[in-house]
Amino acid sequence: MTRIYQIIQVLLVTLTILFSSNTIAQSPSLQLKFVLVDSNNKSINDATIQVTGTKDSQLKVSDEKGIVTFDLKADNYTVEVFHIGYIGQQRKINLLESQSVSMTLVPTTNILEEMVITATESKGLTSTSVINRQAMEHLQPSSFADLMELLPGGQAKDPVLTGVNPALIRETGKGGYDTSSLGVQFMVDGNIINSNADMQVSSSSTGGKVKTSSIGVDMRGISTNDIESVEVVRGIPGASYGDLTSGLIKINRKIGYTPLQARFKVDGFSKLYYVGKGIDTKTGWKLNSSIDFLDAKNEPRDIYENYKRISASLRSEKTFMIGGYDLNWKANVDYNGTIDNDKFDPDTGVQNIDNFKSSKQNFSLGNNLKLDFGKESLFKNVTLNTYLSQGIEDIKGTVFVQQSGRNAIPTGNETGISEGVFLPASYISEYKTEGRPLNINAKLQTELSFSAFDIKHNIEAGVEFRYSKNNGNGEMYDPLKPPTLGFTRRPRPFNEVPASQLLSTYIGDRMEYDLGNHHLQLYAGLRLSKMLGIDKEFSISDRVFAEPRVNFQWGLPQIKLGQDYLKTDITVGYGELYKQPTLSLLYPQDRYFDMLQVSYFDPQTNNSYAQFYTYRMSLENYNLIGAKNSKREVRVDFEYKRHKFFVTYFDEKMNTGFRDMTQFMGFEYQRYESKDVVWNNELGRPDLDNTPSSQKKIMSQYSHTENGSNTFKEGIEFGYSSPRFESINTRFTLNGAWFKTTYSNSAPILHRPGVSVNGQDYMYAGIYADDNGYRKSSLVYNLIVDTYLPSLDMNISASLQGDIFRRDLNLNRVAEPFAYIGIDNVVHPYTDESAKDPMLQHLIRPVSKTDGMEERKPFTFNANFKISKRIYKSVKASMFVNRLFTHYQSYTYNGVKVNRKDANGPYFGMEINFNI
Amino acid sequence: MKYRHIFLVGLMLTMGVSVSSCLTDDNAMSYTQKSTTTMTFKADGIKEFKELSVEFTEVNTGMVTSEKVTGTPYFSVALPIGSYRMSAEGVGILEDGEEVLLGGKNDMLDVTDNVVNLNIQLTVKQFNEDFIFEELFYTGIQTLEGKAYQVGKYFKLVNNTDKVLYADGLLLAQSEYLTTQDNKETPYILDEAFVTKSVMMLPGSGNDYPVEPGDFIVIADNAQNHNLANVPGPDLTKANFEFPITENPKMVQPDNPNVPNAKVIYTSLTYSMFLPHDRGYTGYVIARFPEGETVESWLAGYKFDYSYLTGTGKENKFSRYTIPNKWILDGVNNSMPDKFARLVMGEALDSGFSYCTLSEGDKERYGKSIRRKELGKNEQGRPVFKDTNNSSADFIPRSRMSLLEGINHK
Repeated sequence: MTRIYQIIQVLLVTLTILFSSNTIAQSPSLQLKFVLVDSNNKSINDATIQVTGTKDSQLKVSDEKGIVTFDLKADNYTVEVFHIGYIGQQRKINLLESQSVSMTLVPTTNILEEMVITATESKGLTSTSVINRQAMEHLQPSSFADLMELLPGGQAKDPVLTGVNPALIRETGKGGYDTSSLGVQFMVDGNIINSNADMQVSSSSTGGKVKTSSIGVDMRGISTNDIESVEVVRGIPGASYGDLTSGLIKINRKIGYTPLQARFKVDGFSKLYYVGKGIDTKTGWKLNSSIDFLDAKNEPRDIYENYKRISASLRSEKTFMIGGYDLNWKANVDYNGTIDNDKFDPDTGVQNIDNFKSSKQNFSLGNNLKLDFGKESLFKNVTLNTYLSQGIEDIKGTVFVQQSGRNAIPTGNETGISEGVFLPASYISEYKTEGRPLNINAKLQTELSFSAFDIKHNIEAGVEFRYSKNNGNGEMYDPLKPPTLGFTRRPRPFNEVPASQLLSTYIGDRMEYDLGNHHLQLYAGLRLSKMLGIDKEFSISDRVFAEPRVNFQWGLPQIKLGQDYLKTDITVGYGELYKQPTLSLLYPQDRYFDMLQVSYFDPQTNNSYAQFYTYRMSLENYNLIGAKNSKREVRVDFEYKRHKFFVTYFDEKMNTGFRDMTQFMGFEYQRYESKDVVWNNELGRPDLDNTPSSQKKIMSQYSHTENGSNTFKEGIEFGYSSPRFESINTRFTLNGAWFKTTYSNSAPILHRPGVSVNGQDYMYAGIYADDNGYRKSSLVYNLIVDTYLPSLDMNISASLQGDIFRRDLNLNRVAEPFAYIGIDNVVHPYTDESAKDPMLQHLIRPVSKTDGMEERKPFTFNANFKISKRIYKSVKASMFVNRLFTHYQSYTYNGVKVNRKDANGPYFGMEINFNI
Repeated sequence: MKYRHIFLVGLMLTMGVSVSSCLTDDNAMSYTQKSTTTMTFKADGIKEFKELSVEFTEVNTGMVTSEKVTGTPYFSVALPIGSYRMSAEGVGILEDGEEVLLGGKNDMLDVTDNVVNLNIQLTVKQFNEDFIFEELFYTGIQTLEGKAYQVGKYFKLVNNTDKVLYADGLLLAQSEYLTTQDNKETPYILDEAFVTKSVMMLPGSGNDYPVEPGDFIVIADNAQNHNLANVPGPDLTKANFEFPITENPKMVQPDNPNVPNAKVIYTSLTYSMFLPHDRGYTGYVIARFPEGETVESWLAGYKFDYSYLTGTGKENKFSRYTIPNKWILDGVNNSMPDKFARLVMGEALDSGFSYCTLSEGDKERYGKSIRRKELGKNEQGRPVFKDTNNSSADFIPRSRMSLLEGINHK
């Protein structure tokens, strides 16, 4: 293959020289333009076109957009097209005026091979899944979330577009362990999506499922229509990528000529519309623009809850010559807007009043400059990527609040005693949360390469700065008309929170060495990062995080087996990765404890008075540091006769994940019982000095973020893809993964039974040794059989996927605590005596027989079908049906036979694509 | 009927004549003179008397004269002149065919004349030993805007005895189990004890809260006026007891200074909350600690662990409390007829169930309660209630909640 490219390159260079000398000699009059595309409307470059007239003959080569332009005189011309990969064409053109001719070339071979509708495993230094345009078109996704099916261990899921879709790589997933998805870094066209300043919080109970703060990127907000290809780095990315723990998702969008493309998709939950066009001017300036609209509902019959996404993008690329070097300039202007709308069902809410809307708009501007010094120089290039994005995030809602009876709320904002207010029984509350995240990223990088002692060095070095600040006003509502009660926080403007500033520098060297027939590649890199602008009290303020990353690949000599060669590569890697805490983790809102001292309301006199003792506590954890994940992996790739197979073993350990840890604090305050209250009519309030009171104690629960969560990921990913067997035009792809993920706490857990005893909220919390651990494992398969019929331009695929097994275990649940804390906030040992104590006996938790019994779910099977076909020259129709056939094997657990079935039934959709 | 009346009137006239003929006989004074005492029995709401018996005890001699009739409210007996203590009881038939025990006052009767005509008012005497539930309002209210108003709930207990009772220390408990789902919990204990998720105890040291026979007490969740412009709820201002939630920051209810608070002595909820199930899937009992039992000793000794297997084989284990059946005065199962699966208390306590809800999202349930059927009036003119330990028969399901107009004791 590489040989062919070399020939093409040489040819290209020669022809370019030829062509440039020709053009200078021309005296132009009419323009004849050719657009060369293949049957998938993909531009064909490097095709040679010869136009022969009666007096004149010209030869040119098509560019990356498949475009060739001739300047000719009016004449009859014979046009001949040659390309090494396509069948040559000849046609006659009577040129009387300038015209543009579109030609579709038929490939000679390999078109079958090139039609790949699954993710392919990159053979590079780290485990990476590459998903191309064809695969996306065949999959028919509504959002980026749907692409995750293509990763090893992925399975088709019905889109849930009315709730957040966090990204998970190499694990089964578990609520409360959000660092996993937070640690997935998304990059679009070389610029990162930074969610560190996402602090959105809803003041009402609605909006819980659209919370995105500190869970990373919400994948449903990313449209796939502009994407040319995606690389999902599951393994150890190079040192130039940072602030991530789980993986890296690099999205490359189309740039350059495309026909006018339109897509319309409809399925049970959503409708999607897309229009895009790319142009390529004569001056080599590429310009793409697109607009994308998604309208989704919670379920087809639910007209009240919906999700909308609008994306618009304008991308430009141009290469200039500066001082003899190529300066490539890419600029992107993007708008992305999503709206979660919830108009309340009149059955449950008050019509015309109750509504909820969470909108997120983002304007971004990316400027990527790359100065290319050419292949021969020591410094290959310098890149400077700058990216600015401004978000406008608003949660707005109105709710008719009906209190159940009269309820008192505290009004104090500081520690101390304050008067409370009895709210009216019903009122209309308006609330808003205003987030204005501003993200600025800048990355300066250079690449250089040289050879020393037969070792070829490819060095990348750079510096990166990421700035995130939220300039929003935060939560806003009338404190006397709160949308809900029981806030344990008070509104605070987001703009009071300092910016998150992360400065990193990195260097990495990819060394290549050929030892006989052995090809050795070693990547060694180091990334250093430091959070800036943080108060000295935080231990993170003076820490520098070092992230070493090493990948080594050994390309074994090719072994001849029969006619062909077996190629084998062995790759190993180790890397340390840090995800720094986001703003809401680093600067959480203060916790308020409001304890009622007086709640007097005499309906006979209508005299009322409420009083609270308020305690304000900062939840800032000065010890919070970046979450660290250590990755190890070994991969073996085989290739024989275009059969490709890989298997990867990975072992990832993160024991400093961010986790909300439950804490308790005992408080004492005065309680004035209403029956004892002496009302003073002159004061218009009780005379508390002359009212007997009692000392009341309460144990309050709160949580704060610690580096307290362990996520241990272990597993084997594998994939096999066959060549497309010619007789049946069919390719078999099998991929899958065995994942074993252990989620647990790295610190002892505090737990209080949720009971009240003797008129008193329970006043003790137990400290339990090993707890809240989960071990989840699964072996998932996905066999894709896809047939491509070039004559019909039709692609049919069946994806047979499911679990070989799925296991679930709660780890080490212990009934008895080893210690407890009481209202005195002192830790006491828990003894046999304690177990007999009428109060302390409640700390022994009801641990059941099955708490430590692994749940073993056996085989499942789902058959998903997809078909796409060109139905007219430029029109392609596709449809899919998921779970047309299903089988869930029944099993026995703890003596109970469990029969399972597919609860949702088949899910289907269809779409039509235009390429005009 | 008509013929019978004519016959009875005729009979009475004949008797009257025969008695008056006796009166003319002066000599009769020398020996034990007999008087003919004619009695007409009446009882409110009684369609028919099934049987009646009267007993006269001569105070001086102790001589007892008793008589029994069936099927008639008229009655006559010959009694020697003297002073009698009279007692009457019987069985009446209510309009709906229900049989009910009746009784009269033990009045003194001086028989001096030869003819005595008595009108005897009988009252219902079908009594319990202690308090029983009269009404349970647990569904909550729907506001005019269609929102749920989950307060204003109450339990109305009645003294369905003929003596003064004291509400002091009374326990009111909610079942842990639901009537709508039979999880086959082990160990099975319902024949001996009631498994509870929340128990409250009324205050008092023994004689602080007397309740007259036939009178009632209202235990309100929050003793305030819940009858607001947009809330068609009860006015519970004059409730006898309340159990407001004051520790929960999400719900800080006002505490009425005029109404003593019940104490939630145990609940599987935080913040000492006692929350009635708003669709009525739980049962409730009232009980009293026996002599010598205290809150502390109960908390120490009656913790109960149970478990059950879910459909997928998981063992769910819980720790709750029990109340022995022998402490229990009355119990009511509530359910939804279409989902009823089992009783949540021993059959001896309640062999049936009542309901307010017909379907899971039934909005008609709001403002509805279950109310015990009235049998008639007692001596004080207060209602006497039916209690056969079968809620299906004893309660009227889906009744209108009765305290919309406030609480009025007669």
